[in-house]
Amino acid sequence: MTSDSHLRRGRGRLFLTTSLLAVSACTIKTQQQDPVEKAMTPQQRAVFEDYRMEIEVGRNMAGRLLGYYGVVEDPKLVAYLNQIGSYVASYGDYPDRRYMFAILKHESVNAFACPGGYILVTMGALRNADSEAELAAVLGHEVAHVGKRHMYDALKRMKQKDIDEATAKKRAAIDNDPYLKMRQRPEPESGSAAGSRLATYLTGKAGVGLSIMAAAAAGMQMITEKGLDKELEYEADQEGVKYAVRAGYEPKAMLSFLKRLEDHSAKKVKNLEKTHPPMKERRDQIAKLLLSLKAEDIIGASGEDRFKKVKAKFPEPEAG
Amino acid sequence: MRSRLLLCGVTAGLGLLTKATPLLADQFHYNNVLVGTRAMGMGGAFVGIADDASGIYYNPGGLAFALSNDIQGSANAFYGKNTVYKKALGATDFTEESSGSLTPFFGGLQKLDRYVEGLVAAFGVYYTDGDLKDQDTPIDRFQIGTTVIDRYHRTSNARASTYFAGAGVGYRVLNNLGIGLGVSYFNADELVQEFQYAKQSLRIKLSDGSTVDGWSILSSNIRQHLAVYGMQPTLGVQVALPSGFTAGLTVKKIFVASQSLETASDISKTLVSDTQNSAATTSGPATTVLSPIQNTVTKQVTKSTNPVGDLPLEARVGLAWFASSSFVWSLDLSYTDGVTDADVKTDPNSVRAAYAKEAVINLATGAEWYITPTFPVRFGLFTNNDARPDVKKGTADAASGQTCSQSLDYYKKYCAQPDHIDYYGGSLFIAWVQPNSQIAAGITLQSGNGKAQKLGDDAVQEVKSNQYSFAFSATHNM
Repeated sequence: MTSDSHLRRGRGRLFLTTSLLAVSACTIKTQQQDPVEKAMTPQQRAVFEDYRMEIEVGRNMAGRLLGYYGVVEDPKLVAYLNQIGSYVASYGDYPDRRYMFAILKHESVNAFACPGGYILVTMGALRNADSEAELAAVLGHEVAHVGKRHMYDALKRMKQKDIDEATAKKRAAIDNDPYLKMRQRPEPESGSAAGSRLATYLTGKAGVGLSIMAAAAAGMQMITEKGLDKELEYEADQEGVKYAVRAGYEPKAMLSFLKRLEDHSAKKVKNLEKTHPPMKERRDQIAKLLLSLKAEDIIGASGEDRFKKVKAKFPEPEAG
Repeated sequence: MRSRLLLCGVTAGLGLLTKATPLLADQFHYNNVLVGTRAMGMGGAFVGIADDASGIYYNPGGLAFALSNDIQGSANAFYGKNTVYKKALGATDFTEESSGSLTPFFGGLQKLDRYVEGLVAAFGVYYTDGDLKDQDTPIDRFQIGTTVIDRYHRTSNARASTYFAGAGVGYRVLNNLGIGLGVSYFNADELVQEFQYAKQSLRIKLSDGSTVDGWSILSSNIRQHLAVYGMQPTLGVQVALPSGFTAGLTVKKIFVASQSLETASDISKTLVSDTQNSAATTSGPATTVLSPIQNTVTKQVTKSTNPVGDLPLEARVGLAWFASSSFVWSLDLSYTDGVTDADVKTDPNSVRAAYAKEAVINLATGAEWYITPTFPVRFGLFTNNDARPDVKKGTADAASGQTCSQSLDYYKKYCAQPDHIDYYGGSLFIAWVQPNSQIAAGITLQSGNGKAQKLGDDAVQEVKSNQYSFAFSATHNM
């Protein structure tokens, strides 16, 4: 028997040692055999992995939001939302991206654009709209966030800095506490390429230094507490209006939607105000855009009649 | 799992048979399954550490010293148990076997410093015992004393599990002192179905004094279902001492909310004579006619609403030494109270007597050693002592009626005693640690010796039992 066959036999035994490793190994093998991935250049692969990471983070965030708020399961209403959202997105700057729209079972007015194209709108936001054009503008705003990767880029920017900070903070907290410090175990070594790969599949760690769960947790904090930079919100407002206008909706719809929000009870827009610039400023920014629009680009449909028919079938609001 | 074999009934009186088959899951050992990713590898010695989600089981006070949020799950990929009753069937051993898989622990831990400094919450679902049995044992012709058994056949199926689902909080009341409280839902459920058949050739004495050749045939079909539900509060405290030592104390007790034991049995004994009809017919040769001359059937359906009675209080003390970031050693001593409630004291023959427990002390010690920062090894040793009383040898005295077949009292006291097996165990696990996670895999072995009365006569058998389980686990830190 050659040393090579000894090696192969040894590997075979190792392969059979635990079912866990065997399953993981099979998974890795399957991934490596994907012909599309195999044909990628390193640059293409980097882009591919980046988009895959974006989708994973967004999916994780969307799962958390859906789990927290609950989901409206009215198929006709959800189909309508997807129809309008996809239509507006098709007139956006990133029509090739995939978008999915769902309705959160909550009466506050809010909408969330998770990385990867997961767009969630609250039932309260739908109720606040008076026309399809207003809904289209809101969806256009969220489509712009996704297409321009506002949140994902912000997460990536913050990742190394914030992770380093968080790690340092955590370490300092432990180092300053002798009763925790004595429990501190060694810092694990950076793994091999195969090890990193396996860890990716076992633990959701993707990329260097950023885990999907950690990124999603940071994203959740951003989406529900801190919000994006106000410049990004203004950009999403303007881009969203642009997409909706291109799709044939009336240009002032977003203005009327935001104006109505200002008249709402504080409770309904509390979270929105916390994570977005003031309504008045947003309206001013949109007004600037509207002044620059050319008349021939505007069709100006409000879609009011169709929207009213849909609205008449909205589920009853839940008490409280 | 233990059941008494039916064989004594072949020669003994039928009246004893209905009492001869108590079927019990193993609720008399408290370390059958080790819980928790790190604790599993350290032989279950974790009261002085308990700083991950498994702290709700070992010591909620230790939760207060958690370093990070984590979620962890561990599973027994496979476990097996083999118990050999030495020379139970004359010169032949009898073996009970079971195997299966279960999930010892799934849980998570969340630090709540942002709300209350030093507050940690955890949840967990964990199994402390489980068994799955599907055994078919046919045995032809063997001899017990002067009795020759032509055929014995038993099929035994059982499933049993004891699990908890609960949550706990730990809080650092002082920098070096954590206290904790856990509350878990408890459920023990076991179902046993067993069929036994035994056939013995013998000479039957007829009423006119003559004898004929024949057989004694016994068969029994038993189904038994035990279900116990309750709540278990766990109180824990952990204190950090100088020089890297910590000490912990945990007290827990299950308060039973409901319990039931349903038993349905169908036992029959038939004496059959083998008489020869010598009158040949014109159409063919002589034929053999089987003539049952005695057939006794005992059917019982019983339901007890309080079979287990009280469940014992358990106290654990633990000491851990965090010698360095690469090495931790831990030692636990546990005391589990006995159950000596009134029923057991006044009526040792009641159903509940089968569930009586004596006080038990167990010891566990283990260590965690990071060979490299990526590969820690965990190993431990522990005891798993039996809470059932020692098996005593009786002295039969036929003259005074003190034999298994003649005296019910004697039978219950010296012929139908529960097994008593004390185990010693060891565990060895290796983990692979990444920055936010780790996976671990390893093995736990237990070996036990003891005594039993497998047949229901006054013979006492030596028992050798081995248990093993391959387990793996994954932990993610956030």
